[in-house]
Amino acid sequence: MHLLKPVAFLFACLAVGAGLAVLSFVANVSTGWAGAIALAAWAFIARRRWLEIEAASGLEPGAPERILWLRTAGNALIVGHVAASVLLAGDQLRLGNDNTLAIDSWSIALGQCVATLLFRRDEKERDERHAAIAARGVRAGYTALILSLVVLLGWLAYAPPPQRAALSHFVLANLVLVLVLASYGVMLLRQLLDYAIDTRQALAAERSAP
Amino acid sequence: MTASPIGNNLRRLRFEHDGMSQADLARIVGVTRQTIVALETGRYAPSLELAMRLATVFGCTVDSLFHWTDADAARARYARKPGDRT
Repeated sequence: MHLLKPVAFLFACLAVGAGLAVLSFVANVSTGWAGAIALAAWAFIARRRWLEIEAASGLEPGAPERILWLRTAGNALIVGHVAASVLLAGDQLRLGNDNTLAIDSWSIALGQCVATLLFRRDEKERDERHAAIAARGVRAGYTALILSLVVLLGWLAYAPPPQRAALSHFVLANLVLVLVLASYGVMLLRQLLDYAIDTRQALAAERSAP
Repeated sequence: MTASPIGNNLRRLRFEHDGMSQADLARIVGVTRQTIVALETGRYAPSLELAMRLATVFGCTVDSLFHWTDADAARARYARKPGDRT
């Protein structure tokens, strides 16, 4: 259950981001602000709840882990949104091309900045577990980035010419952006999973302590 | 997150100091409560700075607070023997 939570949360945020892009594309209404407000509201409520239960359990997310949850939410929303936007609109994702997808992506990024301000005091709190967990996450993130770039480069080299011709520089740039952000997401997910594993071990050790 | 080879007396010392809570200790030494939980359950070794902060809180030395879980194995591996060259 501890391990499923970060994975389920990541996929839920990806789905919400993609859903906002689809809604924006189909109904031609701007939805980025909704994503930004939802993200900031979630950050506010989640942080307050974590601080409330802090005194009770001691196994709720500590400050570095709370920031990881926020970054995971914001990053997944943006990845879901940009990926769906590129698939739906391609070149038409550009600003001023009869849709608000580009502005929506930037609105969600702005929401992430606002939500980050809510957590700024947490950044001063040290967690001695974080260095080891962060290092494993960075390794996973770089591995994901290199693998995804190798796959993309292979596809660019060997894809049939008509497929490559359909891929404009603009779409390619957005595709690379998605890969970079997705790799960052892998890094965050690995770190959240490590924290979840650590919490599970802490619970087991606390139960067996004399 | 394998078990650390370094054990400690944190839990006992907390109880001996008026049953100080993990949250109180964490606040005094400036780390998260989860860090204290991780140290007490022997899953992490602290940084030298944190070890010294903890020893200062309990008014003891670092080596009376932290110890090898298997002192014989540590001695066999790290202790210098007569005739050892650098």
